[in-house]
Amino acid sequence: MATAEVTSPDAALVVESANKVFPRGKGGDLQVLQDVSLTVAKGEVVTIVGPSGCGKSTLLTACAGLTKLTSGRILVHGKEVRRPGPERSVVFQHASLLPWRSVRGNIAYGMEMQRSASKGERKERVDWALELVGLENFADSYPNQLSGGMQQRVNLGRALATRPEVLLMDEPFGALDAMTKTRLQLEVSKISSETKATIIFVTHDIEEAVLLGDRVVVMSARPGRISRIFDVATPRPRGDDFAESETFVSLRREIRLCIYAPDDQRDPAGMGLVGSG
Amino acid sequence: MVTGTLPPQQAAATKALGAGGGGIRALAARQQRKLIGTASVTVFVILWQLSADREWINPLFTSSPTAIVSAAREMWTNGQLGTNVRSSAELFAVGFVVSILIAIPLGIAMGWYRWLDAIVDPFVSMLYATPRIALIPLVLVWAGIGFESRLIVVVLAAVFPLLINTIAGVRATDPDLLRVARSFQASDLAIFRTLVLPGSVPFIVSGLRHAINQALIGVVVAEFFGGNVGIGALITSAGLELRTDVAFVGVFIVAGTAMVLTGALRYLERKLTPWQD
Ligand SMILES: Nc1ncnc2c1ncn2[C@@H]1O[C@H](COP(=O)(O)OP(=O)(O)OP(=O)(O)O)[C@@H](O)[C@H]1O
Ligand SMILES: [Mg+2]
Repeated sequence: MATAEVTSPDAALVVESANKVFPRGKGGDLQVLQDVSLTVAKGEVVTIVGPSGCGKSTLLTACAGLTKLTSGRILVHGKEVRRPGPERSVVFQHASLLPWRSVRGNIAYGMEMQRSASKGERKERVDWALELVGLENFADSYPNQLSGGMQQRVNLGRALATRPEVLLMDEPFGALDAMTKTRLQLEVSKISSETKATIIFVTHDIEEAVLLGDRVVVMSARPGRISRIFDVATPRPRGDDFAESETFVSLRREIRLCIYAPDDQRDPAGMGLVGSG
Repeated sequence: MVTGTLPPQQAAATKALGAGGGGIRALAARQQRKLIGTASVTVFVILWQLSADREWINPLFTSSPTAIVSAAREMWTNGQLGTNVRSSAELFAVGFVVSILIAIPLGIAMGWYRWLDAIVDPFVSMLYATPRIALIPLVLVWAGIGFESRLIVVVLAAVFPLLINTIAGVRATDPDLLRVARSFQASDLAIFRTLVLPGSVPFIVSGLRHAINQALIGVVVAEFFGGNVGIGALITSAGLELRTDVAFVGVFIVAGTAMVLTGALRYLERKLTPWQD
């Protein structure tokens, strides 16, 4: 497997044999993550795909410090994650904006809660984030005056304004239409090269994963394990032509196979979706 | 557990009735409604007057619009109206303010601290379920006939809807917003200030609306039983003397006050929660 070897000092985020079990009373415990290990280099964009319910969000919230692992640990810049920290920001699928705050107020919210940056600097960063997500003309609008895509851009801006070194994104564009999605994907590419942030990006969209990731992590169905990691060698940001390239098409096919018929690859006698037909 | 009313549903209901929305057609529809309303009231008043003049119904029972107006004029000049209105207004204002001062802080505390809710809720639920009119004889025993006992009756009427709505508002904080705040390391105090308080405003305003109506009922009922001043007392004694015209003056004053205050509150609601709709 062509997994890039990352030496520790360069690692932004290290997941060490993470296990997560949700106790479920009578029905027996639910093992969601099983022995997940992953090293992400500084400035790298790692996308994670896998079947629904395989534990992608659980892994991401654990990285955010919002979920405790049952065993194993997560290191960010060498320090163990125990709770949320100022060097990490999360973008969830649901925009979750404060309805009583303007776009400007919402973008400032993360910084305010972190109590990072002075008042003047906050204002500067809000303007910077507004421009980055292309909402300069809507700075004083309220969330209910924005489209779904614009709300999601505010969500992104709120996370970016805290200047995170690690950006954790959980299906941020999952609920958007194709056109808005493409625009925001471009913005994420732009942002990652502009801010040099390390990005962990969970998605169920294989094309999105290939388009954005330096590496694509494929997780297996529950209990979630890493079944394979694909390298995407083409340099970012990747233009329209990439989506038509041989690299893209073959990666897409391989990842699809890996998700939908994992047993074909590992165990020919298995009950893979494709194999059984 | 007693649950509060849900303002968003109310808002949706009002909208469905055709009150909200802009546009020329909506405006025309609103004006048409107003016109029809005015016409129906006018017809009613004319029929009322006719029924009294022609003695279709004994005017002793129904009085008549002109008799009511002249009674009001007479009561105004001899000072009877002024004294009673002033007394009732004072009772209402003090009772309403006391109810707010009790219900909002207590409701916020009960919504925020589960242990406090556990302690107080049994009493609140019991008192809320009891028709509070049943308590009036006890209140009279404790406080005697006078302003204090009247005030207690008003507060007993107004405090519960506001209390219960405030608790519900604090509890209704959006869990997605909470997760976002936590991911930015928000302190409990910051969460309270930025999410819980603003989020409960619509609930509190809705509670205020109920409290106004309940306080008005409280005022009239308190004056029926306790003492000989105020609109309630005026109505009672007028009834005993078969002065239906005087009784109607009192009834219309109460009804008018209720409508004006509810309208004022609707205005306040729009000012306080501009993000709704
Ligand atoms: N707090 C919880 N308590 C119990 N079970 C949970 C909890 N959170 C998640 N789970 C379970 O863990 C499993 C993985 O959930 P998770 O949200 O991580 O999946 P996912 O890979 O993000 O799925 P999707 O692609 O649908 O978002 C699911 O079966 C879910 O039911
Ligand atoms: Mg998920």
